[in-house]
Amino acid sequence: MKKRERVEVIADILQVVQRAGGKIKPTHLLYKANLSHDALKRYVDELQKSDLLVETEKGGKRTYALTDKGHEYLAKYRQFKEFSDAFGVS
Amino acid sequence: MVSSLGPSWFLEADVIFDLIFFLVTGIVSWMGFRAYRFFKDERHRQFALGFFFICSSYLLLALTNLLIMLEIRRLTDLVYTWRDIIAIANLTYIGSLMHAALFLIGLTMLLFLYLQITEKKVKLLVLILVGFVILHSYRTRATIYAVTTIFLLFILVQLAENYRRKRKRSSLLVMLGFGGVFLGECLLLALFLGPIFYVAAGVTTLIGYLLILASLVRR
Repeated sequence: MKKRERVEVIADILQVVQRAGGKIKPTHLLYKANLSHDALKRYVDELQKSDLLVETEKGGKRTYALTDKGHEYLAKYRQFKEFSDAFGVS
Repeated sequence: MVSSLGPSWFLEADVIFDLIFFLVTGIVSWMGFRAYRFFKDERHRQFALGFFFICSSYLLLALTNLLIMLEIRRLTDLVYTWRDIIAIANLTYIGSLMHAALFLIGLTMLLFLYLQITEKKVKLLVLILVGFVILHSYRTRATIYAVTTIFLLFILVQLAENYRRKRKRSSLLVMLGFGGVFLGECLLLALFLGPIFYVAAGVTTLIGYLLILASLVRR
């Protein structure tokens, strides 16, 4: 997969979490991110390592939450996406 | 008195205009490099480099016009010789030619990007043809203006297509901005009709770059 596409997949995952109010259950994320289980797991692991996403557990229920760094990443993504779209570079 | 390509009363405004063009294209180039660092996409690097050359060309033009302006001011109080006049004429010619060359390099990079020309042989062919036409031209500067106008027209068509697909305020502003820059180059082609066309070109290009700058402002 090209680097450009990888960034978009990461942004898509983070946007799904943000639209869900900043927290999402793994099953909902799998459904809404439109990725295979293995691919999503790889990405989520990577996002956790990069400190963009954090896994929390409450009452035996796991959820993924967006970190501050995750919010910043999304803001940057939107800014550069807008720029790229405006100049037709994307 | 031989001065820049425009009327002598426009020289101060010309320096300011060139500095504004330098700033706007510099900001676009800087944003392009930041986008490249984020996306790690070769197209963004090419875009940023193209604007970097364009931004450098305007800095060179601003410095040239500033030197001409200072030289003219120095000479007004003194008796000047033909040697002084020839020195200013040479400075004008070399400065504007170097600006045009850097501008053309930047624009060529953008053209390759927008027309998605990736084949090295095709790129080389275009560069050889452009170089050949300019070097064998009787009126070098006018030929460079003609080539940049054609390149800008092709880029403008791509930006119009981009706006048709995206339908965003920012893409509309960028398209209109490039339209202004294109119109400015067209007016420079009419420079032989009188120096007032240089002023008209400057004002039109300024409007173009201000529109491009407005596209960068987030609402």
